Amino acid sequence: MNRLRLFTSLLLVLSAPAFSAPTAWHSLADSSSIGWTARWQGTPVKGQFKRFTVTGHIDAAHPAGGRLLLVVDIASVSVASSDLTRALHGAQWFGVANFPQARFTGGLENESKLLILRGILKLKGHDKKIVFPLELTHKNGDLLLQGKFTLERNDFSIGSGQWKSSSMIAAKVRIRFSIRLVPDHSG
Amino acid sequence: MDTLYLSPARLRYAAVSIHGLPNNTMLRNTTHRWGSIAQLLHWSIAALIFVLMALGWLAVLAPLSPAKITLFYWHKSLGLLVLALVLIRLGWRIGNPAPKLPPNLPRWEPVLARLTHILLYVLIVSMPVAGWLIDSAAGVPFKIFWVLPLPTLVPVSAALEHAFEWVHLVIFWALAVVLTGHIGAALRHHFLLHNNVLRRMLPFTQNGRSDP
Repeated sequence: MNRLRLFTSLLLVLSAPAFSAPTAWHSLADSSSIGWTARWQGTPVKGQFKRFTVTGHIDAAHPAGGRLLLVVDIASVSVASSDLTRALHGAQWFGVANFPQARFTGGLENESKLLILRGILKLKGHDKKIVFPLELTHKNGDLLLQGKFTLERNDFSIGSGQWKSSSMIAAKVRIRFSIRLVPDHSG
Repeated sequence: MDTLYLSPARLRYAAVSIHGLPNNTMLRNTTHRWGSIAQLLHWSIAALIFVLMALGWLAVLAPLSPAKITLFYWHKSLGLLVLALVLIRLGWRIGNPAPKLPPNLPRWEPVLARLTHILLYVLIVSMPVAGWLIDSAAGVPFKIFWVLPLPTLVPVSAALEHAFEWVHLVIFWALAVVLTGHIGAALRHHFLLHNNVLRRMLPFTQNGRSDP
């Protein structure tokens, strides 16, 4: 009996790597998007950040407690109009020359029935605590994180000086994201 | 009454008469005068064109700022208003024959006048259409008078935007030249030839004795 138990325990311990859920993840660029919608005198203007990476440690079976890092290449901000895209790079908007990256670090938490992400967004030299709900779904061993939330652009001096007033461009900007995470060891 | 000669003093009196409009005022055109509808459309389009030219240059030259955006909103909104007005004008003109030209003009003059007016219609219609194409290709948000969204005619493209900007500019210069000729000709008819060609387009005015 003892030898059988010892043997079974050894077997379980040695096979542990095959059974444990993957914990380290990174985003797939082709299947991930971060878009935003601003309002220009009532008309919605849609844009996106084309280049970014998300990495993190999440237990897929128990996501709460997982941690994520998002790094955005701010020069990849873009809208349909190339003139507007160029203007957004300027100092009064994203200030790409001085602030080439934005970073978000946060943790997943359970709050009543929701899964939320709580962390700090560093954008254009400003740090701000943000929290928002998101959906986490499993897709063939991958994780899909989706959600939307609102940011105040003036919190980050985006649209500063003559653009600060919300009469031309609304202060609130809607962010929409869909991130596909794949386990690290699968490359 | 039409053929009664009015001195400049009497003309001014007739224009501010407390008894109202001269009794030759008609909504529709007559053989001797433009009707009030034609006059209203003509002068409002003329005034808007001058305002648009000023707004267009101010908007283009302004540095990127909320003011520049506001100038463009006004320029585009008024430009589309002119498009609507000139199409109404064209419809009204087709349904309302123009007054006859004075009889003793050289043969080339009625031909040149007709050509100039056709050219004016073509240019005044194509200016806002070119502008509409620029707006579509630029992909910048815009609502007519901040209320009515404008349908897009072409996909967003920097190359198309620059092409249509060039077209809009060329038509502007052509319109400026033709308008100078149009205004110069009207003044020539009035001050040199002393006929009614200008007077009959003026509201609150009576034709002079030199009527055809």
